[in-house]
Amino acid sequence: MKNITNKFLILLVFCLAGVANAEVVRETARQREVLDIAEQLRCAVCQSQSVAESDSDLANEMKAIINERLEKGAAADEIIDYFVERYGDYILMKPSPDGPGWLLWWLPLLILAVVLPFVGWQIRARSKRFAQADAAGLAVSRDQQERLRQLRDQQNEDPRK
Amino acid sequence: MQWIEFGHLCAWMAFVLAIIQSMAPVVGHLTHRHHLGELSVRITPLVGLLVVVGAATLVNAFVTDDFSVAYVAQHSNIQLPLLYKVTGLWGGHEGSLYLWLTVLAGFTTVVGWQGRRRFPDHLSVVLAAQGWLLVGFLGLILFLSSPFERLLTVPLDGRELNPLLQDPGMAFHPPMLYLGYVGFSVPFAFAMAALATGWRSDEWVPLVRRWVRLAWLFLTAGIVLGGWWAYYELGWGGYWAWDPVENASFMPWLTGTALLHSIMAQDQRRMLPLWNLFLIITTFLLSLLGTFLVRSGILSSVHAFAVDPGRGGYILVFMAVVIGAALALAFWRSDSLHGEPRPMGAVSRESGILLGNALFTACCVMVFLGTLYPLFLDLSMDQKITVAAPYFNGVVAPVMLVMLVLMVITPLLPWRKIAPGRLMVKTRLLVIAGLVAALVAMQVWPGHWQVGFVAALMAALLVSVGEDIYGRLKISRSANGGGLMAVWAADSRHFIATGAHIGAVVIAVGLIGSGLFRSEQSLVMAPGDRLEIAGETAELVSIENISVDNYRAVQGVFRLLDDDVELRPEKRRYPVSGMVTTEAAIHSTILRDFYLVLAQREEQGWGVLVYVNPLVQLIWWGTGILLLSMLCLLFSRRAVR
Amino acid sequence: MTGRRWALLLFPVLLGLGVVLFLGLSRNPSEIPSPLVGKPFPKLAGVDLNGEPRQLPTPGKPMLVNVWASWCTACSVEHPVIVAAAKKYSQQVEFIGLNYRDKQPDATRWLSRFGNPYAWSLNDAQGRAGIELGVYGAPETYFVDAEGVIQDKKIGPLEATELVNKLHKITGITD
Repeated sequence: MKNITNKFLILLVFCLAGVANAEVVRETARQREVLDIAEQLRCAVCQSQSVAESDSDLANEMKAIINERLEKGAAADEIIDYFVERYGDYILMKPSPDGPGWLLWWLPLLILAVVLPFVGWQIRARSKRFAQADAAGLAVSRDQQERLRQLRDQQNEDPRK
Repeated sequence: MQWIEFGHLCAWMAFVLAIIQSMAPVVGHLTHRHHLGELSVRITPLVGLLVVVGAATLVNAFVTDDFSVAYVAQHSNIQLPLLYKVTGLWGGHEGSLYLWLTVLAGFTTVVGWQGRRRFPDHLSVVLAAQGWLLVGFLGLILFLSSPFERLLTVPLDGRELNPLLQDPGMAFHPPMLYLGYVGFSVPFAFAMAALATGWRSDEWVPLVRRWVRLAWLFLTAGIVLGGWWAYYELGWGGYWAWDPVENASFMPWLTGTALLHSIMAQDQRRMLPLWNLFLIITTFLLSLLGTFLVRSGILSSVHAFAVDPGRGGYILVFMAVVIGAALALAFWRSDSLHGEPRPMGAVSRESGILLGNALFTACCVMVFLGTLYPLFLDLSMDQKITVAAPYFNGVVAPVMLVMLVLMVITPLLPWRKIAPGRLMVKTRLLVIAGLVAALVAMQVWPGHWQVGFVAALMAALLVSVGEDIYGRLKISRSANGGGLMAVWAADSRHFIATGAHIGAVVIAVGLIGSGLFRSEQSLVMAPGDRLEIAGETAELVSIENISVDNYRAVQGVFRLLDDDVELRPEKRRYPVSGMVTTEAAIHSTILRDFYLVLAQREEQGWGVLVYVNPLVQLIWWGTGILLLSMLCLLFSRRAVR
Repeated sequence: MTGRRWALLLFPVLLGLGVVLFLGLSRNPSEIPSPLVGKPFPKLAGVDLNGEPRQLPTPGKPMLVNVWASWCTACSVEHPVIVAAAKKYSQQVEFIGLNYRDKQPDATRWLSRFGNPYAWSLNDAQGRAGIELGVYGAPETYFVDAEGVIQDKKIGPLEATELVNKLHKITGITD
């Protein structure tokens, strides 16, 4: 009995020691800053991945450089510029509005500016014709519609889908 | 007997026969011997058989470890599990092209069977159109990318299949996609045949509806399978990178989804025949474009097969011929194609579908331009830029949000028209529900307006479905005492469509949850250390080294303290190829995924990446609902009113 | 709009697209043009493969700085071209190597096996000097004139005539 109790106590001590030693590792603010900057840079040897996401040697080296420069007190913009000076705009994840990619930011608006009015025009043209047909009494009444639909369905029901 | 040579011979015979299949009706028409067209119909199953035999001999070469076949030597080895030997057929460029071809030949044969009964008068021309596609692909394969090539000195063992592809998700992702891409070739062939022969749109479009739905089903499955695989396998916590090849599959999906709906408008209201023609042609062309982008080396991508401008050139020329033919035929027929826009009310289901189509198309154009912009820039100004996730997310997401609203509202709109006043009355309840849900949600999860938006959407959808069922139940009860079953039977397609839309909203919730609310940390840990993230705690118990069949790995043994679950992310090394892969360990609940990745060894321990992705499982579940709904639709019959 | 007008509208658009894609076939998407061309070569300091302290750029003489590594297969394809050029031009041009992300013993072994055209090679085991130069892979080669300005950068393995042309650019010699 005493033997078991002893063993239990020893076990307990070890467990508590373990718990006491357990460190909660936290991401430091510096690490978060590094990743925030790394997210804006493209890993040049990966495909469409940011430096933050990438595990490649180049990406890790770039993260180390970002860390060092932050330690020396550089601002995020300066660090990003450092890489852009050496790798060009390609190193940015998002095309910058003043670089050669500026058009990309306008394109979606241009596309919508073409598409939406066109749809609007189509809807107007068709609804005008609809209103005319309505006014001329050519529009089919709801009951007649229902009947027509039933007839058509009976026709269509079997073969084609 | 060298089965592979027999397979090669079959492929050549198929090539010759496909030429006959594609030319017979044309020659028959020109020489006024119209029975020649029959030849196409008879040849089609033969071509299918020959192509399939070719595929069988290739699979056989993989399974029997025949390394005298160059393609097998490059993509397989003796130790590879059987499943991956079989799926190795599409592990590389030549084989995956052959898979494309096999699916094309298979679908062509099915069209041949169906056509004898349903559209015998036009069958030969449709099969001829598909024959042209077969000739194109067989030509590419036999002349430029043959999987049948032999090696003079046979290696004892092959090179290894990319270990990333040794995964069930990855094994089935290409076939699903190809079933989708090739599925859209059938409506395309019909469209070409129709333009060539003057076949009326309202006669042939109903014939391809099922094909459009089937192709869409597979394409959707293929795309999501790819994302699912990327999420589980690649270890960066995400599922969609807007990689050029991903975009190449997304573009036909966008136009395909638009087509799905506009074809319904043609069915119900006989409108948009020209637009449907355009969408059918465009969707297939985008599928071909995808093939081009992956294989030509024109855009750098993780997915890209070996860079080969020669092959790229061939495919480009092929596409040029296809689109040239389509345009020429359209031009030739343009007088008969010109139709009056059908009348419809300003606020109606038709206008909803029209707007939805426009938005999907706009989205497709945006993705297209974004994907190709780096190329334009390089050619014009010799400069390179990166267009990646931040751009596409920023541009596509707003359009999709509008689309979701449209998706909830449009089914409530009747065909032809509804007066705006009437619409307001009809939607009173769901608007209120939406606003209430939005307010509540913004209180519980403040900071992102998208939360309120999605909550409103879900509430509105649920209320509208509830109202709909309730209303129909009332009518059914008073008419003939029927209950829920009767309501379903009366209009099952309507409910199936509702199910699909619900699936879409579920996916949207998953996308927004995991997109906006993800937590991540990057740490260095030693055994005994713990981490805390998003209210959960995990402890690194130990680091272990393991050795399995074809790889060695370093494994981190983690324990999630709140759930008492063990997670073992790994860093694997495959000795044959020297590749190193990261295997993420994931604990999934419907509410969130806890995602652990082992990064680099550091001085004080190991680099660990941890992500908490809320609601990400909803993406897969929502897709399941969506696909199930489409499957039901494919098997359903039209309701009796 | 009639179908005819649509077809007419689409045709030039699609033709243009086809041309773009066709031209794109001849491009390499992984070659990134360097923004450092036309700018002074950055100051780098380190040790060479023998452990001697070295500095870049070297004053007064045009330089060819070749980024190489023992793990880089394309480098061994390019190497004989550089060895041959060094025999001819090392009087006029300083041939300097940048041993990128490599292990010193592997690197010296590689040089003794394939030949050493370089006056010396900077030991850039971590790749820092490379990042300073905007390097992202090997082989890459910088052509620097006597004033220390980068006149050209080649990404990928050099061919013989190409190399000679670029050397002429920095030396001003035509022979």
